[in-house]
Amino acid sequence: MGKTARLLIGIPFCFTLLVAWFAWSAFHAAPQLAAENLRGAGLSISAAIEQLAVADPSFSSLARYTTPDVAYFALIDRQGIVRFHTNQSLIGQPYHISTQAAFKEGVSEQRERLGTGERVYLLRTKVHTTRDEYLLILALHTYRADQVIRRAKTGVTVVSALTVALWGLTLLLFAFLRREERHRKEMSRREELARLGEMGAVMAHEIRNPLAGIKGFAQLVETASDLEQARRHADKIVTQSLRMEALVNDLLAFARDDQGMREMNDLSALVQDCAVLLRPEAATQNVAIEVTVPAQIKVQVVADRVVQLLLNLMKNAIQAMPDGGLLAVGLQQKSGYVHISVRDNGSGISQEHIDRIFEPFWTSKAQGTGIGLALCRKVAEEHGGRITVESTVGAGTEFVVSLPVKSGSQGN
Amino acid sequence: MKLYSVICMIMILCLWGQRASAFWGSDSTDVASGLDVAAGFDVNTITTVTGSALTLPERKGQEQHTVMTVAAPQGTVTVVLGPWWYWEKQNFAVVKSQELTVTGSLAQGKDGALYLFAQKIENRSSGETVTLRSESGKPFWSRGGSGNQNGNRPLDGSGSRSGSGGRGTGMRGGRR
Repeated sequence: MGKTARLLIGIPFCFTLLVAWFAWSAFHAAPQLAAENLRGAGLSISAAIEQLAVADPSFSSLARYTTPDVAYFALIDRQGIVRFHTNQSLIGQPYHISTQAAFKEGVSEQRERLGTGERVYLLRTKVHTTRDEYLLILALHTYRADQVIRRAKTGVTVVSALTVALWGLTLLLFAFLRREERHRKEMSRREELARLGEMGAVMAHEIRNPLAGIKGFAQLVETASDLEQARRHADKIVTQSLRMEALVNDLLAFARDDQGMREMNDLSALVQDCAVLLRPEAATQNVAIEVTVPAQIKVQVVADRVVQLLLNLMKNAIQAMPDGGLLAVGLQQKSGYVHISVRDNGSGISQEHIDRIFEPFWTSKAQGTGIGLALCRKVAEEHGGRITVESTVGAGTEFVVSLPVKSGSQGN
Repeated sequence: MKLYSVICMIMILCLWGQRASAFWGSDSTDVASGLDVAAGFDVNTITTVTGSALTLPERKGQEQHTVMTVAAPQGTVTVVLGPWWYWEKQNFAVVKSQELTVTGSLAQGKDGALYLFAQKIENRSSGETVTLRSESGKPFWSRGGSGNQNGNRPLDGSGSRSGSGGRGTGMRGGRR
C-alpha cells in the first residue's frame, strides 16, 4: 500500500508540476507576444501615416485612412497644436502634454485607459514630412493582439481544471484502495481467527484422545493386581505419550523456518533412505515401494526438511492403500529443477477435497493433525519450489515436488 | 489523507477566487465589454456611424442604461444611449431597420464588440435628431455638469482617466 500510495501521489504530483510549468511559461510569454504584435502593427501603421503625410502635406488624405485596429491617431506640431486628428473637431486645438519632452523622447509606447473605459495601446513617435517634424499619437485597439493572452488564460483554466479533476480522481482512487486494503486485512484477520479456531479444535481432539488413554491406563496401573498387568498398562501409556510427542513435533516442524541453512545434498540418496525407512511399515500393509532415481542428483537443500517432506508424502501414500498396492517414487532433473514424484494406486482424493489438502489443520482422516501436507508445501516453497497434486478417485494420486537445483534460482 | 483533501480544496478556492473577481466588476463597468457604460466617453474617439437599427433601445444592466444595435459598415455597433429614464424623456421613436446616423465615442470592448457612446442620433428618413451630450461629451442628463472630465478635454496624451465625478453622480442628479 505504501508503494502504491507513493505512486498514486507521486505521478499526479509530477504531472501537476509539469503542467504548471507549461501553463506558467505560456501565460508568462503571452503578454510579451501581444506587446510585440501591437508594436509591429503600430510601427507599420505609423509608417503608412508618415507616407501619407509626406505625399499630402495638407493631411486631408489622412482622414480617409482607417484600419479596424486604430482607435484614433493625431499629429501634433512642435508648438503643441493638433494638426490632424481622426476627430476632426479637435484639429487646431492645443495639445495638453509637454510636446518638447515628447519630441525628445522619440518612440514611446504604453497601455492606457481611455475615457470610455477601453484599454488601448498608445504609441508616440515622430513623423517626418518634407516641411516639418510631427509627433504622431496612435491609439490601437488591443482586442486582436490580446487574443494570445486570452488563449493562454483559457489554457491555464482548462489545465487547472484538468489537474484538479486528476487530483480528485487520484484521491478517490486512493481512498478506494485504502478501503480495499482495510477490507482485505479484516478478511485476513477473520480467516486467521477461523484457522486458529480450527487448529484449537484439532489440537483439543488430538490431545484429548491420548490424554484420556493415559488417564485410563494410569488408573488401571493403580488397581493392577500384578506387575505384568501394570507393565502392559504402562506400555500403553508410553504409546499414547509418543503419539502426543509426535503431534508436538509436527507442530514444531511446521512452525520452524530453515531459510539459509541449505547445503548441497544428494537427493537420490535421500529418496532411497526414506524408502528404506518406510519399507517395514509398507510391508505390513502389503505395499511395495518402487524407487526410480538416477545415480546422483546434487541439490542445495536442507536435508532433514526434505526428508520430512518425503516421509510425509510416502506415509500418506501408504495410508491411502490399506489393502496393499504400489508406491512409486521417481526423481528426474529438467531445466534447472528436480522433480520428485510420489505416486500411489490407492483410493485417490475427491475433487472437493483436493483444493484444501494443503491447508494447515485440514484433514479428511479420523486421526490426523492436518499438518503433514501443509508442511510439505511449506518446505517446497521455502526452497523456492512448489508442490502439485493430481488424483483420480479409485485410481490413485500423484504428488510432484519441484525444487530448484541451486538455491535462489527462483524465489526463496 | 486529510492533508491532501485540504491542499485540494485550497487549490480549488484559489482558482475560484480568481474567476470570481471577474464576475463582480466595478460599479459602472459592464461585465461583458469592460467599458464604463454609465459615464464613459472620450473625445479622441468621436466618430460618426451610419446604419440601420437591428434592435430597438432597451434597458440593460444594473445601471439601467439604454442600448440598441446598429448594422454599420464597421460591423454591428452597440449604441449606448445613456440612462433609460433620460432616453424615455426624449420621445425619439426608433423602429427596426430604420436608417440612423449616430455620432459618438467609439470603443472596442474586451468582448471584441464595438460600442458607440452616443452624442447625437439622427433619424435619416425624418431628419429628427436628438442630442444626448455636448460637443465636449458632457452628458445632458448630468444636471450638475460634472460629466466625464476626460470627455471635456480636447486631447489628453496621457490618456489617464479622471472622470470619477461623472460616473454615478450624473445619473443620480438627473433623477432628482
